[in-house]
Amino acid sequence: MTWAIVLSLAIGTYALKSAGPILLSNRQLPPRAATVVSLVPVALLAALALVQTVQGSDGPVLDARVAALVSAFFALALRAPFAVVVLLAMATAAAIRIGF
Amino acid sequence: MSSFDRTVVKSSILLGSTIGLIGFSYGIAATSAGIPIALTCATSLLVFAGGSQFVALGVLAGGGSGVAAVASGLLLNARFVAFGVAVAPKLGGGAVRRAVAAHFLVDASAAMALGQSNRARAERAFWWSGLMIFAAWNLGTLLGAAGASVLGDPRVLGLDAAFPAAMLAMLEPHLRTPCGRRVAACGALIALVALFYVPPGAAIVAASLGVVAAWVAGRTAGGSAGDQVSS
Repeated sequence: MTWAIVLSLAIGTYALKSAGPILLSNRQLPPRAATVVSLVPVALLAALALVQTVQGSDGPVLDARVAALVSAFFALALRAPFAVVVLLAMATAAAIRIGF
Repeated sequence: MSSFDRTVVKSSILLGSTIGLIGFSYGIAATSAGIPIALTCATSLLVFAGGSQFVALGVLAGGGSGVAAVASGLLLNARFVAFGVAVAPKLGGGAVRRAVAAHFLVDASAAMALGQSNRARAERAFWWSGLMIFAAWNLGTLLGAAGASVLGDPRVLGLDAAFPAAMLAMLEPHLRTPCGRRVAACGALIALVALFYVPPGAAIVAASLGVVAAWVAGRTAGGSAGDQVSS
């Protein structure tokens, strides 16, 4: 991470965040564009959850994070609150590493 | 303070404490990757979009270029255009206030605003949750970055599992629609395969093709047009 990367990311992110509130306050995106814009994050969030779960320092690995993500999945299926989901995942990973 | 405000503040604090925890894990992850504390804190203050911060960090840690790090972060943040459009009618005030509000637009503050029954409540919910999340995210980052050396291995506390679980939680409402499930499955599958051949950042960027793949899969499976836009 360098200052150039941080500032580029910050400026770009602000441009994306402010497009709606500043430019489009009373307009709507065309339905087709709105559909794509709403679906791209779904693909990216799924990819992000997966990559952060299996990414090792040297290629994909399977470790305690997989079990943690599975526990988070079941917690969500039972409609557990956000905080419970995250804490359960952490506890699962920690418990496995300690060796119960 | 009205009972509505109290309810909003209460849920914002609960939300903030969880997000602070993820900020904490970000601070530790960044510092463990050798990034100076000042730069890590500046990232959380100025970018203030957790997903993209983790992605950029992941790309750089995986040996990717700065351009790839920024590109994959911004691609993930493209969703804020949709959130911004949805939230904009709920925000009052002049141009300056709207411009400031834009910085506090994150997944959770947008969800809080859009979950309210009228405009005035939506606006208050947006500001309370946005400011609370901002404070928590930055405090968490600072504590994580400063405490990384004291704490040692973040994996012992399971902190590296906090972020994927949070991403899954954000994904959850979409997994309840057939279209959302298809897109998520295609995105994850593409990323998984890509991970064996390209750096993590590129794998995440490639996953955006999951939208196209899901559309094709949906057509082949005979998904209706209504199903396509139900998400």
